[in-house]
Amino acid sequence: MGNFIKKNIFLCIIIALLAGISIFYIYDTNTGKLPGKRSGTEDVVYEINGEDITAEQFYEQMYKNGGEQIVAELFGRTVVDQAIETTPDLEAWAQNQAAAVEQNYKYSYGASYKDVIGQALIEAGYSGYEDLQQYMLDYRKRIMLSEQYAEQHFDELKIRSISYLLIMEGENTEDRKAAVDVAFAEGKSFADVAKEFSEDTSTAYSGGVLGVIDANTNNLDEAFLTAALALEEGMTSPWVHSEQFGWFRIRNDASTPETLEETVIQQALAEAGLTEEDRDLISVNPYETLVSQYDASLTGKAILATAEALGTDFGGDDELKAMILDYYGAEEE
Amino acid sequence: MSSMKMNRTMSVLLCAVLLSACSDASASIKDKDTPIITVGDTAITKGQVYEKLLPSFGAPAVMQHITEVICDNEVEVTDEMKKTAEDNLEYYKSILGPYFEEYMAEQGMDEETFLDQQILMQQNDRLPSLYIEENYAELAEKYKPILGTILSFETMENANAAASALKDGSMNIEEAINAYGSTSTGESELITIDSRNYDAEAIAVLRAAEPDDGWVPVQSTSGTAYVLRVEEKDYEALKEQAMTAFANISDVQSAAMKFFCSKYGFTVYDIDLISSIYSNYPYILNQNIPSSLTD
Repeated sequence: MGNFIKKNIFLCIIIALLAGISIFYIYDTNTGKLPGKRSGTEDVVYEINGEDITAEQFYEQMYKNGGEQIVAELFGRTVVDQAIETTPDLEAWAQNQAAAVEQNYKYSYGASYKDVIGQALIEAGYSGYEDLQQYMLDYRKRIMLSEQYAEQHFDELKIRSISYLLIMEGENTEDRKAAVDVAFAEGKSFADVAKEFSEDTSTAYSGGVLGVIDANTNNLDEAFLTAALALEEGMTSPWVHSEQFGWFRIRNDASTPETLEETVIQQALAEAGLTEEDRDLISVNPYETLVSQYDASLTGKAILATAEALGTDFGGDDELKAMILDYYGAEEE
Repeated sequence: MSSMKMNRTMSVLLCAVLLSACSDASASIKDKDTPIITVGDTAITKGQVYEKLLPSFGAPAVMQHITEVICDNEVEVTDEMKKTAEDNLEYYKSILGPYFEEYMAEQGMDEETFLDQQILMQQNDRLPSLYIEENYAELAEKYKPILGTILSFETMENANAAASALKDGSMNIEEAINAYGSTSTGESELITIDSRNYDAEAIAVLRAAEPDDGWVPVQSTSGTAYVLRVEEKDYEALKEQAMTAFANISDVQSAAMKFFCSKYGFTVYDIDLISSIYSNYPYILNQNIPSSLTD
């Protein structure tokens, strides 16, 4: 050994130097790093009072508080992702929406806007701020899937575009109602009569356009909804009394897929002050207001129907299956 | 031959060095690839759920668990606590009426877990007092409690007149308040460095004064005039009042949790979890914070 060192003194010095540098390198690169811990074959996440909490135990702890929501949201995303392809157009839309959201939050929250967005996304089951575009993409896909479902179940859902006019209870109610009846008798269009006489200022300017509703709509006056769903296309209801609002005349503007699309386009042109020649400038989805405003159950129904069509395996866990069905609003059999 | 040996030695050494350049520890569950649900050709795995759960529910779950461990070891459950928990349960039942069951289901609780939660909250409320008891001398040095009476007046003229009347005994506190238009209650109060109800000049004079000095008038730069006196400066004599006051200081509450987390050796071994705790409850961490979170 001694002879070897004597013979290779230069080599030994190099090795010793390298070993020293290596030890320093190892020490330096590990300084400031979080050390891990294992308990048997499992990773430890934290310890308290001498007890190791493994990742498995920690999973159970967290699952009790939010597991069902996370699984249900992942389920929804998985279904939607397989049903709706991510096209370049969709990606561009998500990018634009994410940029708009960023601008709004920057304006409202200043330098901390990324933290605020990140926290909101974490609460929605995403990893953080970096998932904003993904969130917008998932959101758009859910809406698209719901719209597709609405179109496929058009008759079953009794989808229709509705307009209305309102006469409120008060002095001379009967006279005001009679003025409306006279206007109709003179052959004026529903839109014109609504513009002239409706006492609901939020819709009178547009000729009384409410939007697209269906049989599951649950945020409208009950008497109003019942009357609206009973109307054939093109029909106007007699006076409908609502305890809360007053007297309505309601019109079913469209209740077939073809007429619905055309009606919504015409309403959008009128609202934007455009003419038939500007039709190409208008991009509308006839089911947009239905999905976003009037039937909150559509997304759940669409996800469950699509999941069934794709084939879903809950691994024999009936409790999990029941939770998912309940989360997405499946009606009990 | 020796050159080959040399090359091999160098390669092994280099690999060892590179491999030892570690990153922060990240714990993972053992069956992370196990599917929970499969939709079409895509599986939702346990690992995915774990990853999504951690940012939202990780830090609160840890906080809940360590609070339970600390409270179990530090605060005995009394009959009074049990009684309060039962009373709260009855109160919820009475105000929620037929919606009680629905409310409990929404909260993911049954009556037993509700009672446990109520008892834990009461135990948790006791922790700052235990910490203060154990660290009173140190906290008293930090928060400098002082017992005194401070009267506020709109003008220095009124403050001077009130001080004279109080000094010569021609008026008691209540009479001086009424005669010179003070908005104060005239009651003694404990002042700490955390007290923000008075101008700094008034607090500075109070701190410099002694109980024998009697009533002292003070003009502040904000325009408010004060008449004040010190009643007690001895920390031990003020212990009971000071402990109650300290328990309401949020920094003391955080320090109490930090103290007990240290006492029970709370240590995190996962970078994502420590990052979440560092953002939400940094005061419970006693270990070195990884440089990836602080740089």
